[in-house]
Amino acid sequence: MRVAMLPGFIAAFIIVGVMTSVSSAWQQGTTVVFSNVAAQAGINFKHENGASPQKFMPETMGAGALIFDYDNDGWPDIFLVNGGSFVDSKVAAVARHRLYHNNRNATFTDVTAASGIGVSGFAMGACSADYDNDGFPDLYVTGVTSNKLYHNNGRGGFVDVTAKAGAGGAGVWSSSCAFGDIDNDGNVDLFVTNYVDFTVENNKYCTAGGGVRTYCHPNVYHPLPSILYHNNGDGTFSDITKEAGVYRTDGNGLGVVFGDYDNDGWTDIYVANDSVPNFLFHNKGKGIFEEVGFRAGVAVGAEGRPLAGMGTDMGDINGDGLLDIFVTNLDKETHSLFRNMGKGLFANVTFESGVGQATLPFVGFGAAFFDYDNDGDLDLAIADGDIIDNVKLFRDNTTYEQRNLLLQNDGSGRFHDVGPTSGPGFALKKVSRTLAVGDLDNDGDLDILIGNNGQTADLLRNDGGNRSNALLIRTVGVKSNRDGIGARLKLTVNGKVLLRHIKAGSSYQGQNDLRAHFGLGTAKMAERLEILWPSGTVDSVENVEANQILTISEGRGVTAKEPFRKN
Amino acid sequence: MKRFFPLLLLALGLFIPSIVRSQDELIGLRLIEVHTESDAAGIRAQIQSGASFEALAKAHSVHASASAGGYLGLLQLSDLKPELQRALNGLAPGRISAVTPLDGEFALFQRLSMDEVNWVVSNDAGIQAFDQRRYDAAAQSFQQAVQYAEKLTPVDYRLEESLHGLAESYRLQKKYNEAEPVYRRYIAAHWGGSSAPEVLDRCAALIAVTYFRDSSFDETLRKFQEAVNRSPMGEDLYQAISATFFKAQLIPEAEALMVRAAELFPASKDVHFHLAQLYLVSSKPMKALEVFEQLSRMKAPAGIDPAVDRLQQSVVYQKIGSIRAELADFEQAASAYKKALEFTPDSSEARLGLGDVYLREGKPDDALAEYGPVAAAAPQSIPAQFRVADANLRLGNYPEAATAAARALAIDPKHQRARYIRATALLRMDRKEEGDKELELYRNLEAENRAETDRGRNVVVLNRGAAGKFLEGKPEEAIDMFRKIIETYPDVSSQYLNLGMTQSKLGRHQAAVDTFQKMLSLGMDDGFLVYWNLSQEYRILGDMDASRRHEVVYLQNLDVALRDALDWNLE
Repeated sequence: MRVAMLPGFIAAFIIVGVMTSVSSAWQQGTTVVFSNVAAQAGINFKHENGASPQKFMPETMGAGALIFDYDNDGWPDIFLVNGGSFVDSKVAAVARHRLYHNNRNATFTDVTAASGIGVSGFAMGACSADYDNDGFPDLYVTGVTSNKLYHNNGRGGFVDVTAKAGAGGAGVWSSSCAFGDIDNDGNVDLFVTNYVDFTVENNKYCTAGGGVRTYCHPNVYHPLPSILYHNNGDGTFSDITKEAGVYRTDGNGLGVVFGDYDNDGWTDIYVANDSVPNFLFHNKGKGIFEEVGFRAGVAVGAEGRPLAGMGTDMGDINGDGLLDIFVTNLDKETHSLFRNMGKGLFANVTFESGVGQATLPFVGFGAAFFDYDNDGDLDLAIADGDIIDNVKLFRDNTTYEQRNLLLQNDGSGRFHDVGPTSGPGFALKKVSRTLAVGDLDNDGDLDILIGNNGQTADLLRNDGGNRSNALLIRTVGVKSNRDGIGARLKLTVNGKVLLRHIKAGSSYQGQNDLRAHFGLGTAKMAERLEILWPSGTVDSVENVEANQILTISEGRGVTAKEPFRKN
Repeated sequence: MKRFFPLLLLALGLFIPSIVRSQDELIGLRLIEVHTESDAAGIRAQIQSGASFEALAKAHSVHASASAGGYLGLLQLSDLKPELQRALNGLAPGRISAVTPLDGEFALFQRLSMDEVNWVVSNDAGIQAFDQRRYDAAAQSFQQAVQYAEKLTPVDYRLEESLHGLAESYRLQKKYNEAEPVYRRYIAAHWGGSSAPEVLDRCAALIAVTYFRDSSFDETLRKFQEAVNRSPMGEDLYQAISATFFKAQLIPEAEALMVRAAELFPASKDVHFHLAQLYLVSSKPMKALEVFEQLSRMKAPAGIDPAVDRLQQSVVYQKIGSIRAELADFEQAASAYKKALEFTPDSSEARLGLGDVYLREGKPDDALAEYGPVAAAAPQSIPAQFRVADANLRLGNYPEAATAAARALAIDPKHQRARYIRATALLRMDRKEEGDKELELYRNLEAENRAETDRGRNVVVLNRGAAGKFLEGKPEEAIDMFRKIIETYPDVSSQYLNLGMTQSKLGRHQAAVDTFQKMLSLGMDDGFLVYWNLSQEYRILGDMDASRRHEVVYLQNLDVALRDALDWNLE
């Protein structure tokens, strides 16, 4: 049953006797709840972090997770990245990643054994895109000493083509990855963040609290340059980091997201660096970049200091048609929210938006902009968990395990922590790292997959979000890359334009469901959907009915539609 | 060395200058001068009840001699004005005069006792000889002064001063065997406990093995704790040792010491403040908050100046406000700062702190309302100016932000945050060239500051790693690593100390001596620890002269280090 809402989005849920005004659509509290259904869904994965007395840094930095439809059946599947062990080879040998096939009935089946995806050293994160445009999404897995590119054979399996493709990384610690078409040639390219030059052999002895051994600060190691691979269109990639202008030796890259922040038709790249300034690589055209982070105002925190950038996402928080940027940091630093002012400039609105206050006590990793309550604006989900497993020995105001955050957007870019009233899923306290969002049950609202370090993964089912209307759009490129990655979608609802963009890789070591999700509130129809493809093609669809999943092919319009599955 | 110079009595109009003829005619005087007769009478009554004349002079006297405890010097009675001669006529040594009107004020005089006078004469003679580098004569005079000071009750700074003078006189004559026991006696006198020297030796021994946390560390810690538990120590010593431990990264040990101090001195605000600060800087804000809140409820010590008490209360509430803000409890934080302002309405720190809370609540206009008046009243205040700049930036008032940032930078061109704000503001004003220039300056500054922080961190990590090798039973690897750290960071003392300690633990005492001596030859003096180490190593090698020589320098430097430690606010 949908909640009756008056035009102008007057909130109908009165939790504490506060009626919001017509101008403000945000609710204090919400009836949308999230429940952890991982076990009943058959997601029984436990991340192996190989925690040891030697405190090898990677032990505390995993675990990746992604939502992708590997078999193209319209039902998103799940991939969870495993770690391993630097001290116990037996543990390392059996630390397998997990591929879960969506059974379409709120359960998943572990199909790893038949998938061809093996153990790949101590892995970190993953991202997915159809790099060869054959209709099936492929998979890239990052790791501490090696990365893997798996080609999807279209028959439920993957083949390791790393060597052949030439995209195996540099044998150094890679963290997040993302696909994006930097030169709009129809083939998605790949950006891989590299972190620091840690190796088992050069493991440092770091302490806190006057002598207690802990995981190290990244700056005791040397930063590593991230890598930009150009997709050559023939199954191979070329490292064009230097030619493209993104070669930097001063970044401890952890998170990455593609997005066209200046709406010039060329996708840009934002890199979250740990404890050193973040990078914003502006695409000047055809895949040649210039680093403009400082000038844009997104390199450091408001106090002019670099922060511990871990995860990142881009999204339009205030409906002005411009992509804003969010970065997770350590506790006491707050996570940063940069509002796009246009003209290549951003304002740090961390505290003005309410994000600062909400995130001050938390160490954040994965994060996603998503409309959890289908009211049309982008909210924020953040995965939290400290880095230091023995932090209680020398700090008294924090814990290793922390609750994740759900920040509700009031529509104007002001956020409020609604996690405590959003069900048991947000009451969990774990060592969360990756967070990916997607409509896993195709019921019209977005669920959340969380990868936890050294612990079981969580699958938070959204109950109640679909009381308001929504749309899911799957883009199929023809001239553009097959997934439509980089496409910008504008949905006009009651005169308001909602912006989404297709991104393959964001958050921290993870990736969301590629389909674009729009919340429509009470509107039963959107006046217009416009898709600006990377190729330059513009498609539009008028009078789009709510509560369905549309497949839109470039230049051809809607090629498939299916109503949401109601539970 | 402290000196107590006789005050310029000319300025007092108390006497007609004349040459002192002989010691027999000299009297020593102290003075308390206050505005009202009743005040003077009240003070006189306190002194007669046992209160210290000097302490009351420091607390209440409006005369220039107040800071010296009212001490006026040695003079002849016949040199004083007739009315004062009458007032002091018949005043026996050690006694206090009646309340005496004096140029519109009211005075009390105390005549020093003969022992006090004798102490002053001999101590001053020692100082004079010392200044003239006649150390043998100085030692004789100080020796005499010590004997007089020992007769004074209560034993006080006079004994300390003379002991210190004596120790230094011996040291500079290279009479280390004589100097050492005098230094130890001085330390005991100054730091409030006869066993203070032993406690401090054990403190040095513990600091020396900070990086080597094995069973011998545990044993050293146990001995230190035993020494502390059986030794009555003054508040100051607890605080000084705790601060020294903190600097040496002996955090739990520093905390344990101050917890004990708080138990022993439950009414001491100083001790509790130090404990709270310690918790705060060692990332325990909840415990710090608890102690600060306890402090806010503690009674003011008897006799404290009400203005000083208000200031202390204000500081405590500001600390509470700051911690609450860090814990995202902004309502309580604002309330605490407002409370601080009730105690000290003119406190710029409290007002800026309140503004900071508003800023974190996302209310830059309210923040600016607090920052603005402080900046206007104190144009040279960097904290106020860059905050005004920051708040304006967040409000989108870019010209104002740029101007305020420029004011801050005019005072401190290396202020990173102001530089960043100015660059950001200029770029948003479309003043691209200027903005880029500021940005470049900012980036250089940021990189420099970060490199400095990373350097400090790296030194600690590398030392830990090398010491770790030793603890794993790989001493040669440890030595190699320490040597490499020295090559990379030749100007930092910790790796020399740790290398020397490793060599000592391996029984290579001459090598250890060479390492410590090299450190000194490079001009690196970490305070006292290197001298303590050398003293130990030379003793083991059987060179008692060298051992004693370095022990004396260790004791000398230890006292200085402890006094410095007391001045840190652990920030």
